[in-house]
Amino acid sequence: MVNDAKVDIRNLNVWFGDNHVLKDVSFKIREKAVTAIMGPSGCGKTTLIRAINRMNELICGCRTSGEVYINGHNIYDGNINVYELRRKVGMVFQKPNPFPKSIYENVAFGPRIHKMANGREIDEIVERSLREAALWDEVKDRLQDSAFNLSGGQQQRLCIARALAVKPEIILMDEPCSALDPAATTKIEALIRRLSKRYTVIIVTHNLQQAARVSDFTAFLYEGRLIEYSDTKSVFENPRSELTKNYIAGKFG
Amino acid sequence: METRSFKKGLPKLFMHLRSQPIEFVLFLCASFSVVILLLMLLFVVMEGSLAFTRLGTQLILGQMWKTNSDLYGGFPLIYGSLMVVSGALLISIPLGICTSIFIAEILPFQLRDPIKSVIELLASIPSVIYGFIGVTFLAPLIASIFGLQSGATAFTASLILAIMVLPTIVGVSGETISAVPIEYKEAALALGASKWQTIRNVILPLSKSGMLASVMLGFGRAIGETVAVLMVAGNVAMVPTPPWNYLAPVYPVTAVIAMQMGEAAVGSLEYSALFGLGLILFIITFAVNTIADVIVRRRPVGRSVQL
Repeated sequence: MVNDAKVDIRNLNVWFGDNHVLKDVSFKIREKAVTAIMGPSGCGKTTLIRAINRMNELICGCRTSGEVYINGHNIYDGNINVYELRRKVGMVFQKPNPFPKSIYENVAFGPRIHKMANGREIDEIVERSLREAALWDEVKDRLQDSAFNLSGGQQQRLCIARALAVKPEIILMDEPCSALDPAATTKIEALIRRLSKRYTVIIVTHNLQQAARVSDFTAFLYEGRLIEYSDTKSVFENPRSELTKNYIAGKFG
Repeated sequence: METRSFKKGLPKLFMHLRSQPIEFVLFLCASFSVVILLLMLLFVVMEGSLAFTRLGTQLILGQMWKTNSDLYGGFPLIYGSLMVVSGALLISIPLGICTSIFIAEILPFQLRDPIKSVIELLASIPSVIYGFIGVTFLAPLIASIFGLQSGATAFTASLILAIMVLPTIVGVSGETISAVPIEYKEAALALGASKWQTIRNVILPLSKSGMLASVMLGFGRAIGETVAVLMVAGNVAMVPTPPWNYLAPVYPVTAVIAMQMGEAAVGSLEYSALFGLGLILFIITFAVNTIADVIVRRRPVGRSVQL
């Protein structure tokens, strides 16, 4: 279905201790599109996207098998530089988690640790990233304010700007709106649509309407298995699997 | 049911206690330590007042401590205490903070608790054992390394104290490091920061105040330590020449009090001067512990994200 794959996941299995969380998941993710991963709580959605930037291995007792190819390279190969991988694959978390620093320093953090720029160039990166995250106009006069003085939605957009600042190719979003009010959610969803013109966005959500609104492709995950994966329209209008049909109809979840 | 609001203060509390005999007994037990503290303070102040009125600032600034000639200048003793303690902290702060970072961030999960317990065990060794290890092993070693006649020096005492305060520093700063919310660490790591970059740019700035508190608690513990110090410090009541000469013997306040209290006639000026020194020590420790307490309490680490 997807030929120009940015991310190609093959036979991915993840265990936490004895708990087999992801079971033989294989699918391809299209470049410069939004792919939603939906499913009930505990089905392995978060684990799946954290396998794409190798964040799972920070958790004690985690074991992974299978391959994840990004741009044709298996990121689980021994010679992969995991810091460079995580620069290329940005992540936005469920709860906005800006650092307890100024707005400016939050965005400058990534470019600084990767020594991508200095002085004025950092200023430019900060401005560009904040503009891209649709936050610049709201904060341009108070860049030195603490990030905690922003509203929840603004904090989440700041986290998106922080991820954009290191020039990623892929952006992983783990239920980015679940802690936000509807107005802030609308803004973030519009932002996600815009970002997909330049980035490959993979978003986890257990909000069906959100998946329908923002994504081009939708994967349905249930108990660690990939049940259905197709373009969003067919998943919602014409689900092949009985499970997907029931989930979309709200019979469980 | 009676409402349990004690907001109206002590009178309300006493009214409440009168009707609840068991709670009254608990109240007595709880008051015990507070009352003892106040009585001790009162006692030390009373016994030391003679020295303060007769000697005035001499007790703190006087250069000579010679009980035979009735000279009670506490400066060399206080200097000795501060010298030994700063030497100890100079060693134990880097050692302790590096250890706590290593345990909290780098050591594999399974090894963290065992290693922590081993370090805590250091705190449970009686101080007299530190003292005699200092006397029988460390002092001769230092004497032979530096070519000294006696290895009982400020440096020896500092080394022993450094090991004794290590559990305090490792424990408290380790706690503050673990208290840094995982969200911040994940944010940094997900941006491609290495472990060390995350420690330096995210974890350390957030644990600064807790580390400061751990150092102050270590200071409080070190300056009050007596037995181990008096066994290895050399006990000469003089400011070393030059004053930063760590290879000279010193006579810290606690050691002086422990050694001379038994010989001082009750009510004499010497007796009172020792109490005066004790009071000074008490004030220093109290101040440092209070500051540490305040720092620990207002540490901003756990601040939640406002939504």
